[in-house]
Amino acid sequence: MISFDNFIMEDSSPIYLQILLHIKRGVIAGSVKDGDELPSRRMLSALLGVNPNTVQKSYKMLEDEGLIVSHSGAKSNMALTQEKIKKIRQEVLHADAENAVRTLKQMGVTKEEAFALISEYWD
Amino acid sequence: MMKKKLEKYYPLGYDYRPEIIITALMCMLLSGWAFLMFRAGLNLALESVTQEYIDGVRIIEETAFYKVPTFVSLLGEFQSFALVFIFAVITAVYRYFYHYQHSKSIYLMKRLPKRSELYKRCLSGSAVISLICLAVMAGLVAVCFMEYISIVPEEFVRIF
Amino acid sequence: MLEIKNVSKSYGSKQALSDVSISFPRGEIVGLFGENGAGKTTLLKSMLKLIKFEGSITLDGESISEKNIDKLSFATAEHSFIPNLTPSAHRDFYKEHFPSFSDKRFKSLMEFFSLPDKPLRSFSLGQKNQFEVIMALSQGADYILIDEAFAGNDIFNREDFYKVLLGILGENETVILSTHLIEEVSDFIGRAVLIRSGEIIGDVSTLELMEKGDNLVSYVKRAYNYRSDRVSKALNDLTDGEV
Repeated sequence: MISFDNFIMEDSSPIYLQILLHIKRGVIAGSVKDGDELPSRRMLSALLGVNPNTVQKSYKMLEDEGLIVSHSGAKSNMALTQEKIKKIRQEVLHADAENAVRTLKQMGVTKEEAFALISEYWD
Repeated sequence: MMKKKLEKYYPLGYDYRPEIIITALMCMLLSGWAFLMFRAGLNLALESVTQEYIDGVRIIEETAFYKVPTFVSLLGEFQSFALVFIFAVITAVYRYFYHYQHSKSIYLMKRLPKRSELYKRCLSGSAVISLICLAVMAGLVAVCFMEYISIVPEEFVRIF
Repeated sequence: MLEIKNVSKSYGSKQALSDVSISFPRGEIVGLFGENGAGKTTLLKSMLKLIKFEGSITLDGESISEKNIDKLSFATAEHSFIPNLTPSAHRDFYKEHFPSFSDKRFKSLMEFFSLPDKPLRSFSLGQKNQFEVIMALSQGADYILIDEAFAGNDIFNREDFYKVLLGILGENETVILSTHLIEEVSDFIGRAVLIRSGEIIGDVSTLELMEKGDNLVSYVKRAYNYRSDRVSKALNDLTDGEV
């Protein structure tokens, strides 16, 4: 079962997008693998304390992107291929990196300063 | 077990003992009073038509037939039992407002599919009080009647 | 479907509800918001037929009567339980009168909140609130109306409760929750209905707000400001700008 233990809700974006992102990050990290089972909509809604419609929306989006397959009953499983994973990496990782760079640039940080900063916080 | 059955006829969690006790006390006091007044009335009336006593036996004027009070006319003070019926009505109101004390259980009672439940629990107790009172009154009438026919000579007995 | 059509209610000169019309399908978690005296409680009590009103309220097309009243349950901050009775005595009474009462749900909720089987009057305020809601949830109703019944509970209690609710509610169960705590319940509810001075001034799905990048608190603020603007504009018109 895919874990939501380290999922922290923020005010910054719609919750259904945050749920989506949480799963995608898990895919990139390798903790979410092909065939892994997702919590049922009701269970996730109770776990996070969010309305079932919100969870339903994320699952629908995952389904639309072809990333999950829903079976009869409440079960859904990840449907990942190497290609899909690559695509997610591209999308999410690069989007995050792009954001970080833009933010730092906005503050007038140089490339060298940025590298030094990243090294400092990496360990 | 009897207690469980009785509980169904009173508001939930309601202690019906005080009202029964008060009813019993009222009935006792009123019975004593009504009986006393019955005896006093009887004695007074009989004295007024007594000619003389011969060896402790009361001799009544021959023509006094219509002066001997009828049994029913001596029951005047039984009217005071009306107090118990008034009490019964008051308790019905009290039982209703019991549902507003400390919480609004009235909201539960008014939402029940069985609409009669609230009425049953508010009114049954008053019916019980009334029945107790009527039973006591009936018993008292019987006792008074025994008194009447034992005191009043047969020829002079008038019921109504 | 619970349909409220042209419902009005006045208490003397005060108009508590003005021609209110709204529908509640099954399966929603609805937040009912509004200031004190706005009409929230009056609306809920009208649905339960606890007060008289003008207009019509129907459940699946039928007016509310002994036949379907068990499909509506109620939890209120005023508490509708009997203080002298124990929880199990309540369960017995509900079981006798409400055909769809769920013993299973009652038992698991009592366990979850660790409530003792003692007379309710010995409970703390928080426990009383919990019990009040437990009965409303166990009655077997399709529409569970909760009127500010969390008032005395601390936030941890409340958040636990929302989660439990989300876990146990069936697809056909609807919760209408009247509360002040807009921000706190904004994730939990699926629909927000705003009442002000006896009228409905807002009705929105929270998912819709999220998709537009909006949030509930902003939406509520806007709805209220919109109304204040209308009032000051009307005053302005009436007095030719003198006010």
